[in-house]
Amino acid sequence: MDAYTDDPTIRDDAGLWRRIPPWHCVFDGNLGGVRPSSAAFEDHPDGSSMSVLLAEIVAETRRGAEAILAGHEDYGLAAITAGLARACGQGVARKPRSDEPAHAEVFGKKPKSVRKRIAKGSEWVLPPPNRLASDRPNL
Amino acid sequence: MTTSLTKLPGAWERLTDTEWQAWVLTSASPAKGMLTAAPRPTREFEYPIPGGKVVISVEGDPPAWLDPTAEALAGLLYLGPNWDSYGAHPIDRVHVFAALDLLLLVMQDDTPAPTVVPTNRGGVQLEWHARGIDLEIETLSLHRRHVSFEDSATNDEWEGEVVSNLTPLVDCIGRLSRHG
Repeated sequence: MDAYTDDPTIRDDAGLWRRIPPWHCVFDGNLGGVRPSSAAFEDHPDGSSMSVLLAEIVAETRRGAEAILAGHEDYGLAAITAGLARACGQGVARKPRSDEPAHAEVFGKKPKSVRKRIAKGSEWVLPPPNRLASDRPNL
Repeated sequence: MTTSLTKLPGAWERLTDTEWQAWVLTSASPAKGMLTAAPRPTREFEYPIPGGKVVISVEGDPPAWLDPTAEALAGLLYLGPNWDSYGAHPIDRVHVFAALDLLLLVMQDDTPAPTVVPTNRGGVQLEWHARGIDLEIETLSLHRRHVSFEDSATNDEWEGEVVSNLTPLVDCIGRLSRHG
């Protein structure tokens, strides 16, 4: 596995985008709305670090949130800041791909406490379009 | 209410005889019919899954949380590979059974239904976020669960693995029910 180094050229206020599938959208009655589950901010099952998109690069490539969700129209798009990730003990590294110049990875151990903090600290760039049974208020 | 989980095709193959016998579960709550010795009707609730169905037998009135939760859990088994666009694994039916089994052991009749969430490694997470409480239970295996609990009203919080001693989890569930 490549050794990752946190990239200081990615500012703390840089937006990191992540697609949120409908099954990871939960109603949080304590916060008063739908947010991503902590389960949405895991590392890849193959062991590689959590993929995100650098919002700045997405904008440079003249794309918007809708383009990022093309083919996943029932998803939401959530954003965290690089500063939040770093405050949770994570690093952020650019990992551009041939098909995605904005690709980056958030690396570091992600125990439940970290994933919860990231989930609660996220904001919707584009909220999920449909309310599922999972995000109904049960109480 | 007496509830038994009778069929979950595919999950049985990895169970020992001891685990099989432990799966007929009985709630301690007496129903009104017990006072008069009148027989309580038993109903079966079926939830389709790939290759079969989950059947839950209920004696007496089923709790409100049971049907939506069982339906949501069974539905997870229809998620294909890469269901999150980041390479997520399909959900292992053992985790669906583990979640149902746990809920039948710890839930009270008036406990709110959890939000059922798949994990990218093929597991199941049950979540409650209400009344100042955040409770998340992730199935790690048939009898191992990771629990995370916070109660803003008391500033209580704890996180850890729950295996055979379900008392801490029963207490958390009780708080969810009492706060209403």
